[in-house]
Amino acid sequence: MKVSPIKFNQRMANSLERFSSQGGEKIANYINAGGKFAIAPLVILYNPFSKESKENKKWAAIKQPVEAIVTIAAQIAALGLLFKGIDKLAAKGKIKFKLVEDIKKSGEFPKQILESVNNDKTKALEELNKNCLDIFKDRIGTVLTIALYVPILALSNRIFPKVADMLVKDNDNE
Amino acid sequence: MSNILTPITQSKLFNNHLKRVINDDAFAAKTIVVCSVMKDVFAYSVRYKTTMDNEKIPEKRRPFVAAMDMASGIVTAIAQIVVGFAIASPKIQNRLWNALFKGAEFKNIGIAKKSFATILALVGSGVITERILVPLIATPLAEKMEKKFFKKTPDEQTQYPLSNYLHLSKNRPTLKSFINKTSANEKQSKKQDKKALQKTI
Repeated sequence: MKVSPIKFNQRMANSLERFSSQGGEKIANYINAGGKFAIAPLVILYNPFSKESKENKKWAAIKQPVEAIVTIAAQIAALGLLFKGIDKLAAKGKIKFKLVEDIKKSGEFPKQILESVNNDKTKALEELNKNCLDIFKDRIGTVLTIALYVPILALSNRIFPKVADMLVKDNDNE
Repeated sequence: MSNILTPITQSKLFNNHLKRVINDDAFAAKTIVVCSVMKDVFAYSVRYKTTMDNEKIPEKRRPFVAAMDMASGIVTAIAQIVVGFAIASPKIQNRLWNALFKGAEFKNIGIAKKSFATILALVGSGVITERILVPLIATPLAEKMEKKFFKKTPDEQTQYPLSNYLHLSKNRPTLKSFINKTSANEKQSKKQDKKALQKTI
């Protein structure tokens, strides 16, 4: 079955819209974990420029998917809770952005926001508030992600030697 | 919690940042790349420290795994910024947008374009650079670093670079060091009690 270029483009567009509803920080974490899980181990193992022993490379490669699984699981759980909490506070009107208040008074909306809602100023205010909240969540999410690295890496450092020891049978792991 | 967040949401610095991210897609994408680099630099520093302390990794393998963490951190930071910023440029963004989404309909084209810029910069910096280019460059670099900087002491212990700075406390938080510290404290307090008793007598 052939897919016409327009249909293919529309599918890509739908995927992009679905993906973008996740928010920047979550997208960054998915892309990071996906690359670490699937690509990094292969590149370490089959690096043509490396003369390191096969066993050493296997150890370094196994660390990548183990870390990716532990990291993404912890990040999804922690960021989910944090974003839920922020959304609840915002719904109660406890998070107010100075930029939104200023624009509410002046009526001068950013061009991109106005265009996205067909110049409807009531919708533009909602859109602006949503945009600010998403950016705010992304930045707070980055701080939380950094803070989470200490327990995440401690945990994956406990798990990965066991997995590597099981998979690398060279009787030389002393 | 809102008391902690209000100073941020009302600050001039954060609101100027919001304004720029909303108005400038390239800046939004570059910000995500910088955040990603910040996370990686921190993560690789922690990774390097935990690897060199991890006695579960065989001594024979540990210097290379640690050197790999260090080399990856250095190469990642430089390469991600170069590639991420180049991909975030409006020229490249527009060319790829037209190639991929010509004739497609969007509910909100503004958000879709911003997400596209972010995803592209992240795929460029986080997948192509960090996962393909970095291991390719970092593996041979780690080998060289391992030979040059990870020296062995006469008793066959590895001397890890920066270990003096990364080990903030000489007593690592192991059960053994905790017991030693507690018994030392107990002895000291007993001595002090004895002295105080002698003084009163």
